[in-house]
Amino acid sequence: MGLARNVENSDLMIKDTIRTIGQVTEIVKETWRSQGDHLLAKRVAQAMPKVGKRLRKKTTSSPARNYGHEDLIQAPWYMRFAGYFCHFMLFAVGFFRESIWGHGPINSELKICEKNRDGYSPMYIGFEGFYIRNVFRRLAHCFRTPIASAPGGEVDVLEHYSENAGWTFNINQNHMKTCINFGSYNYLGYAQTSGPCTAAAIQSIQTSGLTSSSARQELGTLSYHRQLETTVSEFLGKEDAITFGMGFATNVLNIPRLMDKRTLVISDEKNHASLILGLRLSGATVRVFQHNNPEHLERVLRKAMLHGQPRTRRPFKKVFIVVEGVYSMEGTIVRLPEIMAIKKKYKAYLYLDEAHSVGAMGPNGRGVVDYYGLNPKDIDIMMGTFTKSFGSAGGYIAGSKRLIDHLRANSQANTYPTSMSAPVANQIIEAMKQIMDKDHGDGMERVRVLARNSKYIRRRLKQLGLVVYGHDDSPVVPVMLFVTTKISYLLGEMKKKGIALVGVGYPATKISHERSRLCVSSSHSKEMLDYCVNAFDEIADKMNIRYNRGAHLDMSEVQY
Amino acid sequence: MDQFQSGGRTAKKGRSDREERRDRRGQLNEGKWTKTKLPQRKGTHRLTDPAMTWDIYHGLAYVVGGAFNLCSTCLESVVPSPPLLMMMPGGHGNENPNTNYMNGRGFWIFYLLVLGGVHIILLSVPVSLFSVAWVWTLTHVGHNAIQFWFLHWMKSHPWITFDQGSNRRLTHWEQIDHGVQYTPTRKFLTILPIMLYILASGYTRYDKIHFAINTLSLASVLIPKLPWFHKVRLFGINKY
Repeated sequence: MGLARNVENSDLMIKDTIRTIGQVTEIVKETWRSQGDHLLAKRVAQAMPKVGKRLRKKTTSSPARNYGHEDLIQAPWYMRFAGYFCHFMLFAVGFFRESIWGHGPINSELKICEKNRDGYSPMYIGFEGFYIRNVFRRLAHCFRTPIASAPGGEVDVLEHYSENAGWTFNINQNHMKTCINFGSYNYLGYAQTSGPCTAAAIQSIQTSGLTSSSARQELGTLSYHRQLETTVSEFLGKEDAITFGMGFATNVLNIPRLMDKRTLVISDEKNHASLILGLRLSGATVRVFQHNNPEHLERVLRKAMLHGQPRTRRPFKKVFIVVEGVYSMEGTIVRLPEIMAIKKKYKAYLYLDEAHSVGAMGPNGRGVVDYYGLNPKDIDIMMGTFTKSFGSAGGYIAGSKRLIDHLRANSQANTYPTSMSAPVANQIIEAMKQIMDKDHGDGMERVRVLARNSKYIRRRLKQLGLVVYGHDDSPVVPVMLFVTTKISYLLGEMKKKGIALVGVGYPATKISHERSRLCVSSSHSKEMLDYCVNAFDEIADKMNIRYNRGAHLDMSEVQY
Repeated sequence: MDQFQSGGRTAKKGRSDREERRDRRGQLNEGKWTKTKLPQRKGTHRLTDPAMTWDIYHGLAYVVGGAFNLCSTCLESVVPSPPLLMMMPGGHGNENPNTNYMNGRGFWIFYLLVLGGVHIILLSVPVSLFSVAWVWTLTHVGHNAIQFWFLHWMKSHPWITFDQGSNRRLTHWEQIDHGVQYTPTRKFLTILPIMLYILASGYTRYDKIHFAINTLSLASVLIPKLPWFHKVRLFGINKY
């Protein structure tokens, strides 16, 4: 037990109180994190060398990447060993099986060529489906589970079974189980079959019909489209917005209109497939920076800007930084203040994809910009989808009027697809009105409940010793499993207890970083969350997924 | 261009034909044009580094990735991603695991343990033919044969990727780390057969027959690993 020496101008140490070195270290770390005072650590380290030594040490025992608020803890080596062994066994069995019985179910003829086509070249390369045939097939019962109700806080899950070891599946219509739904993107709980939003949507069918039967640029722009766009722009605090029927297509078809081959784009490592596809189609020069790492972003940006265009080395016409608000697989929140500082310093444009954060983050539900308290005028292009938080479908891009006018005239997503349907648009309008106006409905309450739920379940799951990636405030909760075969067991056990989870493995994640992703919703009550946490507690020992043992676990009681 | 317009190197100011010509680095230049040495990044090979070759006419977006975050202690340098990215909903996990699963945590230990386990099993067989010498040769040759088959003969990968078949003709060895040479995994897989060879030679007391078998086996597994044999198919064998 050491005595705290007098540190000048320090509010931490009360001279009369005796604290241990560990306590002092914790106080400094907490202040560091909350106030961001990096010099404090230096000053303290100079005054108290033993505390300084501890501050320099890594925070967890296993190698971790500290991105600020999230500690990405890796699996211990024996778990990786188990994972490799599982894959090794499955591959060995698969090789053995296929060399004797060929592809396909035993006693069936699954040939690479069609019937009566002798001499034709094979239709597909048989070897590349090896993983699907031998590993994925054995887990196939976990995925693509059919449901029979609206995906609200609870969902009716149908049982699907396979009679031939995973090659084909049948659905048992009679066997339905109501499970707590942690798998759907339903952050604000608008996936309901009743309520004011649904009523507004149904009412709009009476007035506008189901389809507009035309593209936006032809005869397909109706009054509700303009109403939706003004509502979206008011919601986000931007000048104007344009909406499309499909969120994926919003990225893919609009990015090529904003970026061309004379543009430099720095995009995050874990960006969504729609962004990547849009960037590929645009022909821009794309550089990737490490996930949520502003220092690396700056290095990559400088290097690429100095290099210039690929062959001619001329300066780029435009520079973009493409990030997402909340990343759906990691649950991390973008470090927007730092990225904003870099953007302003280098005069780059910022494209923010808020698919998972609009409506779900921030005290007013307006997204990550609201969460950090920044000015929405600083972000050049705000893109988002209506699928996750508003219980609808479609995507939008919001920005200055000039930008949106350009997109209205030039975007392919305006010219070719049929415009958004009336009930879909009116659901969004009603939901946004409810969030914007406290007296209009319970939208604000939903936002508050979601924030509470996410913090609560994250802390409780971390207290169990499970490794949960991502920021403390994000509504996406990935619980790491690290071994492919554990997905199957976890999902099966949870379904027996009445919890519907989603398991994610290769190819959506890296091959040893499988996880089970919970999507918290405001339609989950505290009892549901407690039930889920208790269920995890019961299975965690059997499954051996408590990878985070003891290292700075905060075991204080979590208040809802 | 300047050197041609002004009549060649000899037409520089203040120099004559007889004087020694030294270039910028102070090295003697005998009138031959020497290729300038471009700065080489650690851990990358110029010919196979996509970042150093540019191709904008195909309209692809070349992506130079950040460092692998699997084994940050092993790879310090920036390793480039493949030029084409996989399109998977919900973020791209791993386009081709063949490139980097061997860099993952614990894989080398796993490999060594499996090899050691098989060796111990072979040593435990109570048949008199399985003397220590023959078991070591068997382990060595068996390991090399399996390595040759899986790393240097089998092409493509057992998973469907979205890179339009760019790895269709490549063996596993050529896919590792996207073709970058001299990476830690490649060094590990090169050194391992050599270590086994040394151990086998010792345990077989340098007998002639064992020597012949072991050396041939080692050659078969070391030669394809040489950087000069990257994407080389001798006599068109195993090309398609």
